[in-house]
Amino acid sequence: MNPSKGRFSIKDIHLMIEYMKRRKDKYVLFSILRFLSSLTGLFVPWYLKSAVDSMKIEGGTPLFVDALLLMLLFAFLQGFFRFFGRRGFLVLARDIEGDIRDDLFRKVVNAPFPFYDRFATGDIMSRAVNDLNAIWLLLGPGFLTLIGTAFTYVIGIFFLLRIDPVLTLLVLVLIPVAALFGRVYSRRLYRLHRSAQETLSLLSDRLNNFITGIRIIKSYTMEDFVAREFSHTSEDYCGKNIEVSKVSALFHGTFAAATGFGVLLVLAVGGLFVIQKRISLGGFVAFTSYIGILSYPAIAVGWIINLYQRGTSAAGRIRELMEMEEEPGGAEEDEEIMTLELEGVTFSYIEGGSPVLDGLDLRVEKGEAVGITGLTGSGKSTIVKLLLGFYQPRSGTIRINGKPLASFKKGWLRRKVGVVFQDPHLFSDTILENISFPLEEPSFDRSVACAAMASVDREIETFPGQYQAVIGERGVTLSGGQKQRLTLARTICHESELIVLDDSFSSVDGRTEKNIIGNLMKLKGTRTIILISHRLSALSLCDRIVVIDEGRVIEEGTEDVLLKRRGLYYRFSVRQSLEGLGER
Amino acid sequence: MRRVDVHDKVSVKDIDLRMTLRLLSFVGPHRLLVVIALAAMVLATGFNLLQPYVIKLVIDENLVKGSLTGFYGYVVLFGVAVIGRNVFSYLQMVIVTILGQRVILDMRKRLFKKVVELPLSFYDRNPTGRIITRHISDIEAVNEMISSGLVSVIGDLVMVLSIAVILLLLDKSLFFYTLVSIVLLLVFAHFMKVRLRETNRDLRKNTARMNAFLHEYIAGIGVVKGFGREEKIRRKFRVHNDDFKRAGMKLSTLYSVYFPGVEFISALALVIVLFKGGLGVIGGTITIGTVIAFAGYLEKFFGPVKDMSDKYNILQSALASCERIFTILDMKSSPEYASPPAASRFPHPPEDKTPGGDPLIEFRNVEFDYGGEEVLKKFSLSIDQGEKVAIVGPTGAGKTTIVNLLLGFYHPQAGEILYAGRDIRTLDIGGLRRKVVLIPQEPFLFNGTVLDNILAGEEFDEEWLEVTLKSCGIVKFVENLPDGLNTFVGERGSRFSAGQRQLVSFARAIYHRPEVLILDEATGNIDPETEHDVTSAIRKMMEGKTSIVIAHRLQTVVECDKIAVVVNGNVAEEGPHGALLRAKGYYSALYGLQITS
Repeated sequence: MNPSKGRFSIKDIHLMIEYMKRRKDKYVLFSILRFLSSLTGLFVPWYLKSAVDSMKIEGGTPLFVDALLLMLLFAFLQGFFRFFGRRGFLVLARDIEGDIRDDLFRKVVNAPFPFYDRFATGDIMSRAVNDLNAIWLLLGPGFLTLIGTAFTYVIGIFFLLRIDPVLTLLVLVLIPVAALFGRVYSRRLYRLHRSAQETLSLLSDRLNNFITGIRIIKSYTMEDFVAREFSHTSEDYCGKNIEVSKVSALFHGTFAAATGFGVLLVLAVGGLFVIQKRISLGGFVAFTSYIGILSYPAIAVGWIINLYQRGTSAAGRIRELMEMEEEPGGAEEDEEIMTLELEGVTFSYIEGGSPVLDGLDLRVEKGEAVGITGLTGSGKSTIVKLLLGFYQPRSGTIRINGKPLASFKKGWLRRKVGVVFQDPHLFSDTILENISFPLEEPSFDRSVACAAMASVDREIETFPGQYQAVIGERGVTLSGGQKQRLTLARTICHESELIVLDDSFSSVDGRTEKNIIGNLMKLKGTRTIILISHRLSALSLCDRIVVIDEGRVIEEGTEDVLLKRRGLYYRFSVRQSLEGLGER
Repeated sequence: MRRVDVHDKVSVKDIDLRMTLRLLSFVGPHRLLVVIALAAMVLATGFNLLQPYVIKLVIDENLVKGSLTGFYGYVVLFGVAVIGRNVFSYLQMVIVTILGQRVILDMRKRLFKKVVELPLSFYDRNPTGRIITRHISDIEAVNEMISSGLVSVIGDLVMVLSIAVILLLLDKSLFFYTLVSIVLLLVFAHFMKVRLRETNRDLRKNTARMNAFLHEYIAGIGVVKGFGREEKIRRKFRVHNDDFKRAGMKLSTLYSVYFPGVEFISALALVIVLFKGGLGVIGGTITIGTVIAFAGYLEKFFGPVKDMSDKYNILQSALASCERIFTILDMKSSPEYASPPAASRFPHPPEDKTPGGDPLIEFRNVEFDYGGEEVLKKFSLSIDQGEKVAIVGPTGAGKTTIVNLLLGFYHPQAGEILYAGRDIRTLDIGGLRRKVVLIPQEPFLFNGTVLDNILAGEEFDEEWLEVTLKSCGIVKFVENLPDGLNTFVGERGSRFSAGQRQLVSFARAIYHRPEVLILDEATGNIDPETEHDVTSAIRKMMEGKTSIVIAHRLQTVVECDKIAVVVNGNVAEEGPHGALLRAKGYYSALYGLQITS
């Protein structure tokens, strides 16, 4: 489920740095703005010191007013620089997030098929949304706070030293102590977070599983069973969250306490210094104010560490997808498909697993209609997946016009071959968009013509909105047979040279099926047709029928020849013929 | 018909006190935790507010006078305040989390239980993604509401009010001067609040859209690739990605105005206090300590106000989530879950199989529609105990609807359905469904092993499992799987072909020992040889029991005792194969068509 358990790698940071590098100039500019914001901000307590001290001086009122005006001026300047610096970094991070997501989606869309077997839909979605959000948090608010903290600390120490070096050193001792605490906690917190995150994934998986299978749950009265399973995972998740919060409260509490003790130190030691007239009262007040300013970044350190860990682990998960190789492809293109040959093709979905195809030989000529049939699980659908280049054969070759499949440009083949898949997957868009999906731009006339060929046009006309009717949720609900015919219309719209029908009419009644196949057979001659089916009424319309068993061709020929052979095809025909059943 | 959809959008005006009160009813059982959390909060606030006052005392009595009298006492007091504040804050944080987690655990369980009990029409209208969102994100939002809402809002209120009182007590006139900046802050915060809320909502909406898009096109990647339309999809995705990015940037810009803005206003407040206070110090009407303490309290005052907009937005969206959850909780469960009649009252099927005896299943003048066009019109059909009945007819005639009604997934608008002479609405539907078992048209497998799917929540019985596999004729099929019964089937059984899924679905049905078996076009993807083996095995298994077969292909129905031809939601012809052929109606025409092919 989760192949991302890999260790942290420096490459994870490189992924982000690559994108940051392209915006180097902007990073420099915004860093300068952020620096100016820190600097001007730290002048505010400095003039607070002058203001307090001038209160006590006889006739110090003009000095006092000047100090206050300067405070206001620097507060304004700080806000001014802060706005531009902050906005700059955050917007940059959004920009990078968008770019990475765009690149990621390109990778995902162009990945070879085994990729989708390895990563579940929910997993890919989670990487493209949640993990990228973690990256934005790190590069945006995280990076901004990190830079701000660094500037504030470095400049702040100069101001503190100006007031009193001894007091400064005393207070600074708290920083490494707090950092040490932070390190210990943040590791534990990271582990706990991760474990809670995994339980949440499990909870969503369970829900997804149960909600999509609700019909079976109700039919088989599994309600109590699934409720128990769900409660179990929910309780587990609840417990883990409480664990996380205990540690994280301790973590934040420690930093807050460190700040409190900082002020306590200033009060005790600084107070003593004021009494001994070593520092002024204004210096004392300013010092407590500086502690306040510096304490926020101290609390933020823990937060940044957390963001860093989440961000880099997210980057690792994204990198895993980014490093996937794209589908292979050669250079050849623009040829008419004259012949298609499979020679000794062997294939298994898992390396070293039991073969689904085992030395399959098949040859199809332009303009032919070839039927393929065989037992359930004999490997018929796998042939289609290999033909489209979704998977590569483990051994043997597939050739088009005598040239290996791999030498053709990627995408070329799929424009020439149109498949009607076994599971009808339609998009929740209009009927028109769905039928003309294979086209760059939807075409109404062509969609209507294709719907007619697939015998679904009359039903579409009864839908409210007809071709503009939206499929799914808020729109029309389609029966299994309607979905199958719409997917067929979509494939016809593709205007491919080779049409492959993979068991595509299981939910269509006999009369309609016959109509459709009749329509399709009219295309024979100009287009090549491969029909995978169990129904002999459909297969009998083909020029040639191929029977497959255990991944190999066992019978091949016209229907008459096959019936005479008295093999598997003959047995199929006995099982399916009405007379056969009637006589028994 | 009742609307059973749950929109993502809930208008802000609908949210009111009632929602909060209702949420409190979930908090009720944990009121002890609430009390402890509130007590911890009050103590933490007290210790927190003690700190500036100690500083005032130190400044006025020690620093200004240059005396050490009582100095160390104050230092110790300050230390106690620091420790006290942090200990009680920690306590408060942990207890509030436990409270929030317990409340949402209850709520999540109740929500799921409810959702499982809702009629199938709910699932027709609400996509899976949305129902999952209710259980995950919306419930998490409720947690926010409790952990950063309930106690923390009360805490902030206590804090802000006590500071206002302290400030008044410290110096009345100084307090009225600072009111200027406080009003300014409130106006600014309110101004931003509205914009932040809208942009936040925009961002969430764009996230949802992006999620939906990703889900749809990754699940349908085979279609995208099959037609070589990767670039088209990328272009579409970029639009969503850009919309999302723009909303995110807008939000960042708003926050970039908000935080520096609030900070500038608080600096302004400080300057006002210092100016007015400083003049007082010079005039001798106020002590420096008071001015500094005043400034310190003011800073603590601005903290909660600064977060106000954020918290308000969190509360708003949490209340919207609450509303969505409560809408589901308020929906009516399918009637069968309301008060299940005792299992003992479940009627035994009539033993009498002679014609003229009571039928086992009877549809009487049933009328039904899914909310649009009528599907069944005055539909009547009776099925005797032990009878094998086939239902045939063109696509869309209402065949699957008959099954949906018999299993109580939907209820007819008129007419009645009887099982063993009793209206199924008066029966324990759970008991009925245990006896009447369905093998559906599109076999669904749960993400788990083949064994999990066959058991489907039942006890594991090795002997019976073996019998089941044998009698379904799928022993060889299971042996050929890489891990046998422990082979994982993938999301919705995606690692299996449609035919293989149907075989597992058969085994599941038989394992559940059906009295009545319904096969809804259940062999569409299975080859004739395997189909023959499986169906003849099942026929043997169902000897003497009742079965209903729905089919397009007539060869599977010829042997049935009775064939009902359903056309336009009505039984057009009824009888055994031979009689129907002779009748020269729809059936014989269809038969003729299939026989010639």
